[in-house]
Amino acid sequence: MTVSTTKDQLEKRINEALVEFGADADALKPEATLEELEVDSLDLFELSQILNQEFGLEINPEDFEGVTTLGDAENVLFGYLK
Amino acid sequence: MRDGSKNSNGHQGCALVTGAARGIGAAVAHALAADGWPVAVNWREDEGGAARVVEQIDASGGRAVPVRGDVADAAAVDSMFDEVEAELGPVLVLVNNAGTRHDRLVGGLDAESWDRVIAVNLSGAFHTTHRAIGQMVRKRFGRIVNMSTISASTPLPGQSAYAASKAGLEALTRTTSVEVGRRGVTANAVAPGLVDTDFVPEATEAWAAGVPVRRIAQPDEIASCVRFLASEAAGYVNGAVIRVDGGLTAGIPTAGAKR
Repeated sequence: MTVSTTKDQLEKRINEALVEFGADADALKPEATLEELEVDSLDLFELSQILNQEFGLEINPEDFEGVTTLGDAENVLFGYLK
Repeated sequence: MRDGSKNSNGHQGCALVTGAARGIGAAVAHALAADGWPVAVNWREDEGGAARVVEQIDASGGRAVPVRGDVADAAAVDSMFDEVEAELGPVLVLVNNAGTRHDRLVGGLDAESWDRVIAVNLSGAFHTTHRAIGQMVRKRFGRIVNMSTISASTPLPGQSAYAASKAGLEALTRTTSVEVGRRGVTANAVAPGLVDTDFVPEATEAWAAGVPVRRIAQPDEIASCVRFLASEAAGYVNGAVIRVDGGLTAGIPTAGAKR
């Protein structure tokens, strides 16, 4: 499944998850900080679980260290696409 | 469970009890099965004991499977979870009961024994919690119950490894509780006192005079506390260490004195 996953698919699922966690859908812009979106380490952990279950991505939580914006977080996750 | 059907308690998942071939773990497996949980009965050495527990649960109308695995071995825990999840669904109740002890005065305790006690009692609970918690978070329900001991806070001489491992387990419990509580996942510990099992052969009725209730506990009296903590009703109990010791550590020991 990983092979066929596109950036658009991944971005769509990330946004859905963040809204489920309580983020404002209208605020989901690349420059928005995770703090502004009220996305914390537990949310990122659960997001990693979702992407593992649904796309087979094995995400290392340490890759999120130093990440402050949604765009940065998405780039970390896009990096797992083959 | 593989067809996605719900248990009689409304959940789609199972309970895993480590060290469940006998004693408190076996009693916990029975108690959770009575609450409608399919139960994975973990064992490491006592295959016959685990088989008996499974047989008894089946005979009572419940569902259980034996699963072998040394909780101190992260890879073995991973395999065990794969097996349990395939058979019974995600682990939504995790009871970290597997434990060992090696009592020596700290000056005479060898490093290998220390390491083994820490590996089973503390690292073992980390391995299982690490593996279980993702599914619990996704399901918005989880119950982690860690088996501590009153020795974690009131140890006897010779219990350095055992007491330290359980004190660490209580800290793991509290940390887990603050990390995932908002996802409907709770983590608590139960700290038994003197219990009638072969794990503590010295805990005989001869010691009962020092216990305010004047007897030692039966395993099912510890299991009943675990059963509550695993229930929906205990959703607001989180990060607690509940002593189930007949009042042994509630006051200054009187050894049966009347005043």
